[in-house]
Amino acid sequence: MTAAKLIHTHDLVKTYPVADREFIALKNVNIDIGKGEFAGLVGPSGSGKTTLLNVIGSLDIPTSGSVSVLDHNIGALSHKQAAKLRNHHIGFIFQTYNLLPVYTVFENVEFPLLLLGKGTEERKKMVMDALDWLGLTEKAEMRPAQLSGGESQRVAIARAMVKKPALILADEPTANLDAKNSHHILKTMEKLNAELETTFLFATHDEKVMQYMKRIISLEDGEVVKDETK
Amino acid sequence: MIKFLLIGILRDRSRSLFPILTVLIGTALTVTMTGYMGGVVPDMIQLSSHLDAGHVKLMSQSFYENRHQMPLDLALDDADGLIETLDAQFPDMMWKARTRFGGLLDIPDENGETRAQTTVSALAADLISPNSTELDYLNLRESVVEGALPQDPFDVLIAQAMAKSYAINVGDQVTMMTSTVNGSMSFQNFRVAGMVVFGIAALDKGGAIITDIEGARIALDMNGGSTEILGFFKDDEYNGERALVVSDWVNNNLKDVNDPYTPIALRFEDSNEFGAMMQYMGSFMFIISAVFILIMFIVLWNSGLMNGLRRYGEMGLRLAVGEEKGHIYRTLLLESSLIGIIGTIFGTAIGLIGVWMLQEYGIDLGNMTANTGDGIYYPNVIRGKITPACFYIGFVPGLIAPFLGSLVSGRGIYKRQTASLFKELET
Repeated sequence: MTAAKLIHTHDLVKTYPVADREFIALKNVNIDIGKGEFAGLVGPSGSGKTTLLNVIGSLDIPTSGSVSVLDHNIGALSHKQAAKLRNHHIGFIFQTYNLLPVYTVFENVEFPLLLLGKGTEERKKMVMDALDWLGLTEKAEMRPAQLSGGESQRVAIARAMVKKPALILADEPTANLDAKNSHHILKTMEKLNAELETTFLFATHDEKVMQYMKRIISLEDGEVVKDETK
Repeated sequence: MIKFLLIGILRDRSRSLFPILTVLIGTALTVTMTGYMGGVVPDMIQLSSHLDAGHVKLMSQSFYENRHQMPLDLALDDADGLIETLDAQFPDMMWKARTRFGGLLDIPDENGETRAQTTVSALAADLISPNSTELDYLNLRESVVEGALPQDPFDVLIAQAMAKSYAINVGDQVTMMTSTVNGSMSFQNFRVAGMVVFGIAALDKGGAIITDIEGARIALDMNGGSTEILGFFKDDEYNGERALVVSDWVNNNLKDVNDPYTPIALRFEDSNEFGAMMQYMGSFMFIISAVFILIMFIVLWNSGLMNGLRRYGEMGLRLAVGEEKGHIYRTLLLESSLIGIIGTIFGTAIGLIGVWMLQEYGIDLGNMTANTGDGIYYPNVIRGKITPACFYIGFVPGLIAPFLGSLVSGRGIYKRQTASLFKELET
């Protein structure tokens, strides 16, 4: 595997026991995603998009085959090692933002840095840089309940990118947003991808989102049926 | 991270208010109970030692074995000589000869004929010597409510309640009918010098008279003798270990197994079941503390489970961004410790206010303690006392219970499947 390959899967299979049989969620998935890509996993519900994100994000392990993320063999990682990989190198963006309601915007973005053990001054600078990036400087002391949906998702993006991860995994990040906010969010992500070379991997079935993707990997019934780069 | 958790606790009332209130109530009760016991037990020890048991008490072996009959004929026959020996051996102690006896008090009318008779229990102590400290130990200066302190060996003080019942006035003459140490009848006239209210129901409501020991010795024909000798540390602070040294010395050096009148010494806690009572009180406090901890633990355990459900999304997010389960578990324990500290600080403050009120105003339990006896005395008004323990004892249940609660409820984090976090966090 070359250094440029951030994600590499080889004959990845993921099955789940359902009643008395095995449900095959991913079937011999072979993909390579390089550093700085802006790619989307697309497909209908149940096609395996989220399962693949789970495995790549070290939230789950493959049943067979292998997955390598940043030269880490996901199947061989302990819980602690997987947590460390997520903590240092992977950012997550969810459909429902998942901001901590009792903390301010600043504190929500600061949280991953606390886990990394960064010092107070360094944390403050990194959080303010991230908020500046996302145009949220003036919202720093607000609570999530005071923000619009678009602002909340921008805070979630700031939280995901504040530690400058190599990879951001986003599962339906614009599903709860209107067209204008979706556009704004995706443009922001494009900017991050271009300027920081952060690799983005989306899971979506939204046609509008797909327009922004530079590479689209289509999944159906757990199999990669199409992989096209624009 | 501590600051981060503290912010969460302070801002999220549903996370903190109920657990803090639980800890606060538990610690406030613990502190109040401790202060209450801290006041009652020393008061009980001081009163009972001053009135009955001393810090060390000497009796003859035979008198001790039959002490409930108060057999005067088995009293110490050379109490004064024994006190000289003890004074020389233990210069840090004071020794007091006292005699307890019972009899019939005859109350005459204006013609000198018997108007009324009643049984009384009498205490004889050195009341009129210039350097005697018995007036202080028996708290007589403050207890005389009518008349004056005895000035003559044949002056007596009578409990005011009994005096009122029998229409006895200050200056009246009464006759004590009893028996001498030799078993012969004794009739001795006493002048009522004053009336006393001790503020101790067991004494005030009984038929008690107090007289000078020299008068009693004449009446009872026991020159130089007494039924008991009480030893007190000069600092008036009871210390079981020091008392043991004294009682051991007496029992090893003065005791003659062949002499039924040989003196034996008992420490305060060996007299009248005091030791068992103190152990009982210690056990009572331990059980109460354990019950508080158990109740708080169960409540906080359930509260922790409820919080775990309510904060399901937060925990999922923390797992997703790379926080280890063990770290989350430890932060839950740390969070519960912070809740415990906050609750304990406020609970201790409230408990101290409770103890202060008990200390200032007290609770009048005179009717309940009227029948305590057998040498154990409580003041009518039970008072608490702010002791050093009141400031830290609350931290025991206040920290243990929330910690245990989180220790059990927080284990749910280990059952969380990271594999389904994306789905969980998007519903």
